[in-house]
Amino acid sequence: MLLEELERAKLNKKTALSESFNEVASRIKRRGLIIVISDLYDDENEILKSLKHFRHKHHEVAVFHLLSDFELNLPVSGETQFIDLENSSSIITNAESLREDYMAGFNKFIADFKANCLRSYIDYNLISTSTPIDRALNHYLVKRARS
Amino acid sequence: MPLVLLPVIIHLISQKKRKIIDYPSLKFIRAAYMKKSRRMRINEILLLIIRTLIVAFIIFAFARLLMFTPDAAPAGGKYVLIIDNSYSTAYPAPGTQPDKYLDIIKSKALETVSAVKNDPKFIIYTPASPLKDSGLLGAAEAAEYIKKINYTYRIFSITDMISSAEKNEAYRDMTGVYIFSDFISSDRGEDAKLAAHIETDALLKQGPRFELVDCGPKNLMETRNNKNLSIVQARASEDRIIAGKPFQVSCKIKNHSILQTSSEVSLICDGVKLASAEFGAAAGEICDVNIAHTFMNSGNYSLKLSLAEDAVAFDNVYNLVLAPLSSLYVLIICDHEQSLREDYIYKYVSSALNPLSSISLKDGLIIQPMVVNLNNDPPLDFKNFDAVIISGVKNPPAALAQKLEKYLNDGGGVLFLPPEAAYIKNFSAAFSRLLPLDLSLSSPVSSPDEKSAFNLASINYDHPIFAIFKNKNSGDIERPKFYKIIACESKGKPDSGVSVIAGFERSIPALAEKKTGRGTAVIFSGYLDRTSSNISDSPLFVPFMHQIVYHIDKNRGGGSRAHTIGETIRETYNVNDRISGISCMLPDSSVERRLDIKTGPEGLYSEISDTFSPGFYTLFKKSDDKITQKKYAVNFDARESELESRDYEAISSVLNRHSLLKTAQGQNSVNSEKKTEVTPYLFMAILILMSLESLVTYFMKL
Repeated sequence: MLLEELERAKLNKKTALSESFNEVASRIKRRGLIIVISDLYDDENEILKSLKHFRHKHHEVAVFHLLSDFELNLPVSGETQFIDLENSSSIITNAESLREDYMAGFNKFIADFKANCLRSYIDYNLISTSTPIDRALNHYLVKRARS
Repeated sequence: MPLVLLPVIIHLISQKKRKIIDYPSLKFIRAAYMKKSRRMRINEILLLIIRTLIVAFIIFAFARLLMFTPDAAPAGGKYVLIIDNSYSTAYPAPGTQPDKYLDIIKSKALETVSAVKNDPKFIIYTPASPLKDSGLLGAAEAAEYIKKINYTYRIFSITDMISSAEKNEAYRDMTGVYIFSDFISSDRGEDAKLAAHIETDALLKQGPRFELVDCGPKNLMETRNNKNLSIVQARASEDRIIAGKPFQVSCKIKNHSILQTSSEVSLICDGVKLASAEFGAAAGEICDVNIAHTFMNSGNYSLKLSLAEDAVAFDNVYNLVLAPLSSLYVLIICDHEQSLREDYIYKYVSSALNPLSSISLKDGLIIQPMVVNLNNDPPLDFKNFDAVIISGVKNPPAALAQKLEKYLNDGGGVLFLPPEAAYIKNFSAAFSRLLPLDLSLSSPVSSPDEKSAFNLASINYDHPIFAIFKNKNSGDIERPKFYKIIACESKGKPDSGVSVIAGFERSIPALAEKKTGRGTAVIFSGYLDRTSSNISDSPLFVPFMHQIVYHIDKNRGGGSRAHTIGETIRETYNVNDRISGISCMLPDSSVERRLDIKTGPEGLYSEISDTFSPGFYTLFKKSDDKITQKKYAVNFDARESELESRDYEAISSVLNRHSLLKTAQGQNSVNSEKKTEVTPYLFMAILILMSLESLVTYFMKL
């Protein structure tokens, strides 16, 4: 049933994770497991604040940070025009020349977010789009049941 | 230079087709981009600059640029100082009286000499003929040399001066060349002459650059008005100066500042004062002064102003080259016996035209007496001669008469002197179409004694031949006696072109002329040898023969006109002359220079184009069996005294166009310069830039 719901999920232009989380937190009365599957492209402080809100209401929280291999490695070279899917803005640059800075910034973001999650007792899972989401979920649930 | 744009074009072309990628969020891309973009932009600009420089340097390297870099005056640096002391520098500079431009020139030259440090050496050039230099002088010696420089009557030609300096072997190693001048009318078309000289002279381009120190007037008109005194015009009274004959030089003196008669104009030849005339004129006036002199020797004459003590000290020299008859060529054809030749030709005819014995004439009329065997030798082509004298030819061939007729038709002049009595009929028959008088029925008439001798009478004194004898002071042409004459008659009707100019008693024609085509034939019916007349011993004989020759030559177009410096002398001849070589000797030179024989529309010719020095130019024509010579008189150019124009701008422009000019007008800089060929440095720079370009490209890819 969970997977069917995920299948029915539609793309939304604008990311507004923190608002959604706050709304969900106010609706759920009973303690439960909150699984967040997101690329987390939003204000990370706001997201963390919202996730901590879940924890404050004694929910268990698991974050599945879903990223593509492209985002993780930026395997592109030469003159490239990057178009932002959210706001259609674009940047033209030599991808090779900024890969190093991009990777450094991106990895730092992941590491910082993961550290913040752990500090707030939030499970953080980095998963690639190349890995089927059901397998990732299944793997997580089995691991959680064992512990 | 458009190739410099090549890297820009390459840079723009290298903007390849870009990939387009949709991305969930540019948050991290943008952050990295912002960090990198500044550095990348700098790198790209750097790359553009480097590539542009590489291309520019390659172009400059192939253009073999020369670099002028300031250089500390080297110890023992050598400088050329070219100083204008031509007489245009004798004008007083406005507002700085009594300073003349030469004073300013010398003052600036002295400043330059004293300003150069480190034991410099100087070579000083001033106009002279032939051009001379001072030799290598130390600063103190150079200063003394400059102080002693006085005016010269020579034309100041920058090109000649530069050319002279170049002949110095050390020219290439000279540290600097300074030209001090008023730049007043130094020469006609001096800028064009200089430009042509630079084009053909590699040494000049490699040598030091020139510094023009303009000491001349800023306002030429003001200077002209300020000119107190000068000879503004001079000319000889006669177009052709006759040896032994008085002539006058008329000159105009302008703006004399005092009302005195103690000033004078002197006629000077080779430093010797020949004659003088006093004059006086008030300020603003122009007066004429005439100097009379009996011409004896050709040479470089000058007129010099000498002033009274209370006048403004001023020397002004005006130059003339005077040549007797200006090198007329006269051919005398005779067939006398060899034993008689000396006696007849030289004593009576040649001496009349070229009176070597009496007045030691140095240059001038060239006589070419020829004894031709008219039966064997082909008649000559006369066109190269200004006049021909047929002197007592006994049996003239028909071909000779035909040649003479053609010569006359072309404007030539012929003087017939009859032969002995036995040959008169032959003579008359051969030249019947040309002779003004009919001699065929005549025979010589001899007067038995002194009393019954003939004299010239019925003279037409208005005729050019006798005009100079009209004045009683010029001698009495009617006094010489003729003991043997030919009693002939005037030929034809008065309207046939024949006119009798003078006769003997009893209405016997003595001298008659006839127009044939453009030319004039003249016959004298008296005998000139000493046994037949005493005219050859008379002082009138020389001018009498001269006058006849001038008159019959005048229709040839004035080929004997004296040239002015800078004009090209052209000598023409034809194939029949069988010329094997042409050479010329320049004034003040003892070296013959070969001339090319060229072909033009009018036939073969040779030219002397570098007539930059006044004096006599002698042309030697070598044929199979003889060498003939011809002299041309070349006069000074009087423009130095006329204050016509200034050529500073034109000269500067020429030097600047060839990157040979160092400083601007009037500045007296003494900084020396080093001229370096920059090509090796450019190639080194190109290599460095290429390495840099590789490095930048590499870092951009990282």
